[in-house]
Amino acid sequence: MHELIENLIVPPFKNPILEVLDDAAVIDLGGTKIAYTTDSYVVDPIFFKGGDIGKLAVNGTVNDIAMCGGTPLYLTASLIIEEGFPISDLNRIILSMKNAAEEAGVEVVAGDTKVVNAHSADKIFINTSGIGVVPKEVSISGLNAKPRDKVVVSGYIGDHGISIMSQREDLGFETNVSSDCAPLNDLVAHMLKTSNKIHVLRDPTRGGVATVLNEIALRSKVGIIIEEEKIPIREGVRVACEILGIDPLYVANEGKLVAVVAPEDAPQILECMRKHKYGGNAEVIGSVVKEPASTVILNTSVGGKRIIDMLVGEQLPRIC
Amino acid sequence: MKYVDEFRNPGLAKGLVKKVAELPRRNVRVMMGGGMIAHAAAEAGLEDMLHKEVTLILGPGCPRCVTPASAIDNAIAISEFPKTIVTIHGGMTMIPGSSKSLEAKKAEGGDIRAVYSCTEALNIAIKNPEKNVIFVAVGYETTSPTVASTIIEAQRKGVENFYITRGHIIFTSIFRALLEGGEARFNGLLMPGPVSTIIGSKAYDFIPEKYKLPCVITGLETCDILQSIYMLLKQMEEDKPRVEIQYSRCVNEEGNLAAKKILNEVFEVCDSPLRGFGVVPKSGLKLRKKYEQFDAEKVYNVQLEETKESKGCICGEVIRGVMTSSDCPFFGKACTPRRPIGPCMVDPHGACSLNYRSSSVRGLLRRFT
Amino acid sequence: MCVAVPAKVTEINAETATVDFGEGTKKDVNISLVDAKVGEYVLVHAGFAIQVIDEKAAKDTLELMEKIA
Repeated sequence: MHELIENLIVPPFKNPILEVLDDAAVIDLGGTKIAYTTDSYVVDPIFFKGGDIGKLAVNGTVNDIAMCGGTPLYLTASLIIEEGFPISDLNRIILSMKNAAEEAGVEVVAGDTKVVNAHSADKIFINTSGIGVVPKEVSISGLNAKPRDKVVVSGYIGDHGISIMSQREDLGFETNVSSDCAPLNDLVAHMLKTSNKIHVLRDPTRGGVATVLNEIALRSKVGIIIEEEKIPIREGVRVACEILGIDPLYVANEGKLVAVVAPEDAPQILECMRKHKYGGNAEVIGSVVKEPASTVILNTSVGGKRIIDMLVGEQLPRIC
Repeated sequence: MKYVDEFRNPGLAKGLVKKVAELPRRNVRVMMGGGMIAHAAAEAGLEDMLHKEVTLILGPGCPRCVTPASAIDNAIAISEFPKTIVTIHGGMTMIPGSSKSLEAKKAEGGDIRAVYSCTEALNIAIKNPEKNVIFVAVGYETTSPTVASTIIEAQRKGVENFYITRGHIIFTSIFRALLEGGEARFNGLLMPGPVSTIIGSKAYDFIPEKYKLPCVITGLETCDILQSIYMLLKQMEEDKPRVEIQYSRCVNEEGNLAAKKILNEVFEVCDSPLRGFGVVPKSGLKLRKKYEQFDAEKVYNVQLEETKESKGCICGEVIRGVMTSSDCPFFGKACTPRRPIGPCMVDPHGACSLNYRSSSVRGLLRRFT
Repeated sequence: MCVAVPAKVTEINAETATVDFGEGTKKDVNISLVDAKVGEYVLVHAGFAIQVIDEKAAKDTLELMEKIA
């Protein structure tokens, strides 16, 4: 997918704003920095423990703007609905989007609805776009990680992906794990009040923490070393990953962020995060190094090391 | 998790690493007879910690690597028939056949579904009576009894649209072929626990008896593997090669008799082509006549053939432990996890995929620290 | 060499058992290949229980490891 985007989709649109390829585009509009982003949501199942496609759509876009250090303000929502989709389900999703927008403090100001023939879409697809303002002095980007920086994660990883996978009929396992779908803009606002030395913010959605760390390492041309023992993973997620034969570092999150921050500010940023509803289990999991560049290394709990690669292909549960 | 966490205790593991390092033998080559052992060792970064005392060689043992390309080609060919659903264990979809993988075929529009168990495939058949559902059989005796059980269930339920392809491999046959070939050089063998729970430790007696090699059947947690390496080194010290069971909580001498019985009821032994070895006698399982109505080969007229590797690809030699990844001209250059050429790199448990992640670490760290 | 994970048998219904891997992670598996009782631990692979875990042997193994380490 990365290659599809980088080799086929991005080049024709070539421009310096796009080429940064952060979670949102940051545009200077007559002295004011605007963060502008879009995302489409096609998750299946549409209702899951801890959320639904509507909540995901709102929070996903809110978070993309927050990852640039921006304050999200307005969203648009476009719905593509399959003919025959139950009205009660649609109501449920719309209500969920309303509640999510309220919690995040954003307003849905424009939208579109299309109904397509049966089988032309899978139940419902949602596209959201969002706009927000980035304070002048804030410069957060995947390009900014520096050697000696600390890598912080805001809480337990892998919850969302496992919650979704457990509801797939063919995998047939039951779990207590709920999706962590949540808006992160308030957490980010608090972090920015505490420190002006936050260099990178990313939310580890599809592809998980491993993918985000690799992207940062590549973009900033640095190495990242993380400690296995420091990574916060819920026991239920660990167990589910064991049965499925997958690595929690690659499992999607929808209410977590990874921050790369100056080492001298790390303790106060961590303290600030831990006081917040959505950062209670934050941990410093590693640090940035000069070499080996563009590489992510894990120090294992038994004293060994291994390379954490970019995810190749779909993460299919393995048995063999 | 019980029976998992205790055997991953970092303190215990570090102590075991120290003890292995204290044993007198040096430059010992231990072959890991299974992708899962290699994977578990790589996850913990063991090779890096033990490299002075023990070289862990990756050999055959991961079924995806030794499954012939024709198994994938046949599955692809079958998926091109109308009203056909091809099902296969998730891990196999990325393995390349002669020209493409099932994953690639699926992107082109084939109805190809990854399943967790053969029972799921049977359920898909029951839910879709107007279509044929084919399960691509892969794997060793850990998996083949589950397939045998499903065939019996299919017969009991009178399911008429369910088929399996031929592809199960008899685990020990690979090592018979490997040792018979006399090419690979190693001082001891680690055998994987899960398959051994079914076949029993007696199945490996030929290794010390005929080839005088120490053999330890290991569990897959970090401490299991470390203890097994320790046991192997001790055997070498005593010069009394034998089969030892480290994984005694799950493995005994006879194995799982119920599983063996059901295997024997449904399957019979046959010759089979194995990637890297050519046709190996008595290495495969095929359906007995009594169950041939479930044989996909009869319906679709496909056969297993020997694999013709891509020019220059030495996966065959790597699988047999004769050459290592670094001997391959493509390794790390034309062939990487992102752009793999052969199964050893595609498969996350494949020799080259694991080597890429761990030897790179050592290489990288030596250059920069 | 395939993913085989230990789980506790919590319920048996003819050839199917509900097993718990821990933290309420449950799955229904085929129990026909082993002779297991509720409360025992089994090794699960591809939707089947393939072996009953010997508790005493597990304890002995850990003790031996601790002695060596």
